[in-house]
Amino acid sequence: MSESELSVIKPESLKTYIWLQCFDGSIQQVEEEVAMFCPMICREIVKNGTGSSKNHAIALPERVNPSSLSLILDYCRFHQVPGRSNKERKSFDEKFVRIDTEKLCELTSAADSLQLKPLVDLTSRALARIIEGKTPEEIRDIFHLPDDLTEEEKLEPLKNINDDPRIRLLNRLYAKKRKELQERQKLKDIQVQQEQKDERSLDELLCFINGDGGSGGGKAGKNKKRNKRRKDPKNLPKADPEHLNKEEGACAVPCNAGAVNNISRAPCPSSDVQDDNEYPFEDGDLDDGLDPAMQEELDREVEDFARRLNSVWPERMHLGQERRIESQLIGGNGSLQRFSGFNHR
Amino acid sequence: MPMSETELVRSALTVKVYQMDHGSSPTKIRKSVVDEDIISNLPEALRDKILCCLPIKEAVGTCLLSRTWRYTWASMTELMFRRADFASGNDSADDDRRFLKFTDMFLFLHNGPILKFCLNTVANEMVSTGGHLYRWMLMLSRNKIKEIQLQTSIRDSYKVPSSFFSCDELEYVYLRACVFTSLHLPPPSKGFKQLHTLRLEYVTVEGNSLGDLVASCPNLEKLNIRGLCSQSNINIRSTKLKVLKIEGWFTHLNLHAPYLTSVWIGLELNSDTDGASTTRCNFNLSPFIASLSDVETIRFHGHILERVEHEFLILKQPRLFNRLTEISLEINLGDLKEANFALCLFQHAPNLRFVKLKLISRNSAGPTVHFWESIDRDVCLFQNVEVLGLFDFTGSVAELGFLKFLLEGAPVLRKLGIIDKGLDRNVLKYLLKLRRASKDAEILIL
Repeated sequence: MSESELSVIKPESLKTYIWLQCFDGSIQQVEEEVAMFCPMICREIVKNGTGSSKNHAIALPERVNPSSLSLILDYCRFHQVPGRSNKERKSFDEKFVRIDTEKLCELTSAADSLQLKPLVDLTSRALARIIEGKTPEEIRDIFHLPDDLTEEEKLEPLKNINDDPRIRLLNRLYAKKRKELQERQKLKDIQVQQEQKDERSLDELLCFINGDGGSGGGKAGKNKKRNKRRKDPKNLPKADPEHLNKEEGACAVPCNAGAVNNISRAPCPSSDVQDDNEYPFEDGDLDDGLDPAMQEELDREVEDFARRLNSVWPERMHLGQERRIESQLIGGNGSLQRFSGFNHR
Repeated sequence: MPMSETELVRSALTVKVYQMDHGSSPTKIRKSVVDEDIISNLPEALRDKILCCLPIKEAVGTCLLSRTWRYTWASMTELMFRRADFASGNDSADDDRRFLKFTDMFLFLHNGPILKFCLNTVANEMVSTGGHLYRWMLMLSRNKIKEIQLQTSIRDSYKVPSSFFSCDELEYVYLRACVFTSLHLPPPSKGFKQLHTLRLEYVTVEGNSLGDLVASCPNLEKLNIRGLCSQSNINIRSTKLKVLKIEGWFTHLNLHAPYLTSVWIGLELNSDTDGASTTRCNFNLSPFIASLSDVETIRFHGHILERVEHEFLILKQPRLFNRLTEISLEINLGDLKEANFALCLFQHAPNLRFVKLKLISRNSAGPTVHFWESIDRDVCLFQNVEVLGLFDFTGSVAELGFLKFLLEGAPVLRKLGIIDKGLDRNVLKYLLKLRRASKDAEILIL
């Protein structure tokens, strides 16, 4: 075809086409300028010279199915046109990702395999928006995720990462216990007087020695430092003896149970444990001469803890926990007997 | 044997097992097959990307979804910690604590490279106090970090941790409210080879640590400093730098960056040291400008023109900035030195299109100079100027003189915007009367 002939033909037909083949074998013809928008296809054309005929169609990656491909081509067709305003592009994008979630996932995957970065960004953001603000159950529903974690496992990360006040409480209590222990060791000669207070069995002592080892000193020191900073009268919590009791109760359990998992859950047998009435600790004879700064800190922690209990806490926390705790408590030795009450409300 | 609720919703993978073991009805099987887990099959990089688009707390929350998602969050590559996400509305100190603990814990449990780390605690001062930042930085320096953005509070300034200087794969850095001491800087051989953008805000610089830092970034293209605070000699030399912005309180600045396309220098003065520091300022502005070859935009704001050397011998050899299209100056047009400087710039910018002047009249006591009227009319200036903006126009003799000079000389001027401080009727009359070289020139008084 000579040049003069070409110029007569409508510009439409001047467009060059290339052939694309999906993994399922289906082949289709696409305007080159549109397809070139995908870096992967562009590279195939430029580098390997494929796609020029039906027999040498560009083989698309497995993750590109025909329906995703047609969406991707729509996307390319719109965005390859120069001179569109940002506003136009944005509103196109917004509408473009308003598709069924499953399709969206496929599209993301397909765009990724074609290295079409702007579309990957767009679809990933859209998927993130779908997930955002939903409960695990809702997300599982949307994406058909298997609910294959045990209750135990679901609780673990919460404790680790969500700054669970009970974990903090526990750590503080451990720190306190360690401090006590250190003091006791220093004052070995007046051990006899101390013994009245120390009702723990050897096993209990060993359990927390083994549990925390070396980090003790540093941690206690740090707590102290933080307390100093917090001397600000506004933040100073009231020294409430009842709080102290509560905290003693919570702390006694871990020593007995010996395993962190159980301990941390022990103080909240049900969501209606809300105020002090629910903790039937009879007496305040547990005064253990805490250093005042430490005491403030502990009071604070307990308040936190109570607040946290009042606020949201997942229902599943209570499934099947009560009985276990109960048996542990009852099975425990002397010092714990009086706390077993708090499970029989 | 009845199937439990949970078993029913299990993934398609386990369906076959049910079929064999329990002989479930065909409808149930098909439902399970259709309900194939559609997101977990995405490649890891995509799942990472989706997580990185989520607020970080929610990203962590995905660990509750299923076994596949259990620890996906722990290898997220882009992290964004925002104090605002932890606002509970009651006890701010407690929120601070929760935020810090969360960040600590997250990094403690994180596994794999961290490419981007963003922190936003602008409204709260807490990050430097407990040494958190130092620990985090150390952690990042071991994880191939490429981008660091720490938007911390101005009241929470910290010394840049030495571990920062061992993050040798950094490409983008944004720090705020920090102090650079000259002690920690790495030897030039090491440095940040990949760093292309360095953005600093309210930064205090000791000695020539800034110059040393720039020298240790052989590929730095953008240097953007707002609120620079320095008492000593800053000596910046770079042949790669394209965009430079330095704004703040400083006294000695020696620049050599010939390939800059955009220059923005702003000098602030402490009101109490206003008079005293005049003599102690030291800038090599003229040789610096003379050395520029590709410059497109020049902005000199604040007191810089007031404080530079007395005589502007801009260019020893006649030379033109052919690419220079935009000039923005904070200038006293009545001051001979400053007016001369502006004229010099205009003369060497034949393709100048946009001019923005913030007018000040500092030495109003000085004699009225008819500088602009005295310029030879044959000098062809402003041949390509399209837009002129004059801020804080007072209508002084010098300003009107300049305006007359420009309007009569600019043939393609489209717009002249004037933001005034209440103009006299006589000034307006005078403005209206001025002859305009461009027939399209529109004068807007805003």
